[in-house]
Amino acid sequence: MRGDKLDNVLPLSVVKEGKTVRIVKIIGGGGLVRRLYEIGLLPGVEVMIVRNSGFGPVIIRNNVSGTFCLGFGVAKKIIVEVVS
Amino acid sequence: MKTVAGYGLIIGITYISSTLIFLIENMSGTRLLIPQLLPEDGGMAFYFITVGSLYGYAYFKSREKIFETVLLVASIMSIAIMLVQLLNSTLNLMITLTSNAWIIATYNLSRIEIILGLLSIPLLLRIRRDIYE
Amino acid sequence: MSCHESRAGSTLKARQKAIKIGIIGNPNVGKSVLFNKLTKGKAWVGNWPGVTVEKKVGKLTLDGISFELVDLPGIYGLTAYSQDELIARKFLLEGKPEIVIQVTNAINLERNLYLTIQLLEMGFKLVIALNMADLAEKEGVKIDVDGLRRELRTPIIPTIAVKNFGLNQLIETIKEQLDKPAPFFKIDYGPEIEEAIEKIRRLIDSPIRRLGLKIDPRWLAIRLLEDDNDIVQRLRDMGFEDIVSEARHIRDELQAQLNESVEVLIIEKRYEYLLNLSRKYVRRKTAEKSLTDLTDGLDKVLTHPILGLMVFVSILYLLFKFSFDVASSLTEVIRVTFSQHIHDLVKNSLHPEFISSLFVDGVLNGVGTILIFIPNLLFLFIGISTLEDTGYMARVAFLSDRLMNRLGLSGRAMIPLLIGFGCNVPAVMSTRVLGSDRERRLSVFMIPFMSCSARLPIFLLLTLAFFRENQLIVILSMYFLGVFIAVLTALLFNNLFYRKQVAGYVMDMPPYLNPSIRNILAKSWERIRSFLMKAGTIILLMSVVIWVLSVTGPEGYIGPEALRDVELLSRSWIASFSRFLEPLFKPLNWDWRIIASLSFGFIAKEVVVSSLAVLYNVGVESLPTVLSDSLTPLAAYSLMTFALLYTPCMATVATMRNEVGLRYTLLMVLYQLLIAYTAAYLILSIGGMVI
Ligand SMILES: Nc1nc2c(ncn2[C@@H]2O[C@H](COP(=O)(O)OP(=O)(O)O)[C@@H](O)[C@H]2O)c(=O)[nH]1
Repeated sequence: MRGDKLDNVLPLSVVKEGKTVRIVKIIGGGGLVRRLYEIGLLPGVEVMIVRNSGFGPVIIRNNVSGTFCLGFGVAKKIIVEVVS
Repeated sequence: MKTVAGYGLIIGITYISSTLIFLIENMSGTRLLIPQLLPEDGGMAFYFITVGSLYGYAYFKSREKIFETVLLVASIMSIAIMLVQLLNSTLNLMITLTSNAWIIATYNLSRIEIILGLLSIPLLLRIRRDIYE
Repeated sequence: MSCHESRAGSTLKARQKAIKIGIIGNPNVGKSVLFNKLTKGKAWVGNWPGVTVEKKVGKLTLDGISFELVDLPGIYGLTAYSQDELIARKFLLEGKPEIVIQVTNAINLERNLYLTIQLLEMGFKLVIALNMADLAEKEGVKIDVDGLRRELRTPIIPTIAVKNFGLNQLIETIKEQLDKPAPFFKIDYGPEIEEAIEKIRRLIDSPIRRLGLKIDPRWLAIRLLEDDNDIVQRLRDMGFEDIVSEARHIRDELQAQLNESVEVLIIEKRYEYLLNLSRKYVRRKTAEKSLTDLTDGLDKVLTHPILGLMVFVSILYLLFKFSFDVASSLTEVIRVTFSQHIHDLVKNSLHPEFISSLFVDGVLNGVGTILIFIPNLLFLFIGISTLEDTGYMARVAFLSDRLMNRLGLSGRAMIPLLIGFGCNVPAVMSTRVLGSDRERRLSVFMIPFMSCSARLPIFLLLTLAFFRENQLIVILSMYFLGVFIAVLTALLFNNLFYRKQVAGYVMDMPPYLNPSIRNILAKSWERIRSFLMKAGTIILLMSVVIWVLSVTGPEGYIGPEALRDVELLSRSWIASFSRFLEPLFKPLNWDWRIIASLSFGFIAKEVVVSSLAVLYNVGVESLPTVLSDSLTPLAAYSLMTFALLYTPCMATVATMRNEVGLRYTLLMVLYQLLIAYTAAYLILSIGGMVI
């Protein structure tokens, strides 16, 4: 169980464009976590990756939050699993 | 769609050729064309290359959905530089109301970015209709 | 809760003071537009995510009742995490608005409702403007307004701010709300958390009542559970240390019991609540030709790694052409009218000479300096506002993010820096949009090294005199040197003050919209006005001061001829001051005339060339020849370096003072003088060894 879950789980910063992912966990300081939660990016929520070059900021979107640009540092701290 | 893309491609090729001639002229120090048909400076040459590439890219992608938006960007940029130049000439004309100001004005009005900008207007209208309706 | 009922009873007629209304909302929801429509355009702000850093106040009078509207920064929640949130919360807690209007974006209502919940929990009387109703409809978003209104017990008015739709109804609703009590609103946070909230509430309830504070005790209890630093500090300041530590204790216990962060759980509960609301009252069907699709399509091009960058550079070229080429003819008109017609008019109508010179050479010169900036600034602001209104600016930030991250900045800082090449003044002003103070200061420190268009004449003159063959290369080297020093500055200050922090940020990407011309013009005008009022006064003052220092000297009054006669000027304060500095600049081999003209350059860098002409007693045309007799090419290059790097004009300094405060401005001025001197000296001595 645990093992195959880990296979799917990866930081948002490495997910390819066009994929939809589900947020599993956000690592990091209270300020950042709180901010992300406030805009609706919290565990269990699905987002689509609109743009990601792999080493810069990432643009994501869903209906609840709208479209957001996350700095690379932030994207690295969001752990997600790929849904499709 | 193919005709729209083709029309754009022609405008794009004109932009690119104009820039190429500008570059050749600058490097060889010769004069090949009347200056109205060439970019004014290096910055404008870059602008032409960008718009030209966009038109080319749109043609290249004319089967995909993205084609419309590329064309939208290209035509808006074409028209934007035309508007800026028009405003520039108008202001200059208003300020230097001398006898040869009119000559300068006509000269400016026949500049290539103004012509290509005008030619891009129907494109923009067409694309807008497709996108918004 | 209880506190609000007592206020509600007062009748409209009895009110004397203006009724305070706060306008709040997420960034990019149309808050500025709505605010301006309601106040009939008496205050304007920008549109970048998080732009409204200053508090804007407007007036509105209805049936004899006057309202004071306060525009608050665009924020996502009320947790004091950023400067903006602190400002907004401070106002809500201390400004005591009677009613709060929350502007929401109907397209992503859920995200907006998070703030709604927090405002309701605070116990405010809320009126929700469901803005962008037109776009939501196009997107296929259907909202059951009545249902939501009932559930939240709060009036919700669909609006389209740009088309004035729904504004009358909004105003009517505000009036109706005045005499109603605040709604009762409560989220159930689950048994464990509720128990803790109740415990803390009981602790603070009676002290708050005793002090007669109009704060909802339940809200305070929740904030304490969320470990809100600001609230904790406030309570401590009021002498409630014991309550704070007791609340901490309760929180720690709860945390141990739940085995998870309490604040995170609380936010999750709120989202659970509002997602539930959304399931009940928001319907989405995929629209045929939606704004999102268009935005995505455009983003494919405009954030494309190659095409996107090309478009960006091209747009930049167009922006500069628009604001410097096109505006230059207007600048010329102002200059000519000013330096000839008005000067002569004033000169001939005012007597004695002392007075007329004070007006012409002091006051009018100052006014002229200010006015000369106006066309460029106006056009630049129009261009920038257009780019902002379309939503493109956020994409520029995206494109330049990686580059700027190396300097400890986020992509958003790119725009101010680029504007700096045109003029440092609007560049400094546009740093307002940046998220953190750290980022703002860092970019304000970098901007003066961006060689603005006013420095070009100095370079042109000196290269004409000394580097006729390699003019372009030498001038370009100046621009690069400026950028290089700016980069070093950023790295240095980031290391020194901020221990290499990198900007971790989250930025809203608004959809692409057609810009509204009215909005653009109004925004640009607001920015111009702000420049006139703030920087303008300082420029005027300094011009007069420098005039006084030129026409008087240690021996007393010299007379206005000093401004045109080098013999007389050499007896002025300016000359004695420059002579006094001469030993300091001995290593650079400058005589007092160069020092004096660089001091004049502090008014505006454009003045350096013309004052050199006065001081060398020749016309500007023959200045290159004269200069090439008295300086070596190397000395000229070092002079150019100094002119590039030393303190920018006083308009920039005045603007800097407004944006980052006096302390940082002084630090910056000193730093720049030091850098300029060192660089000029190094070039002279190292160059001397090489040649
Ligand atoms: N279509 C539409 N656009 C709007 C509406 N309200 C505002 N806008 C546009 O939304 C953009 C952001 O508005 P602004 O007031 O600057 O947002 P703020 O950041 O909340 O102050 C601007 O381009 C406005 O023209 C609306 O109701 N409908």
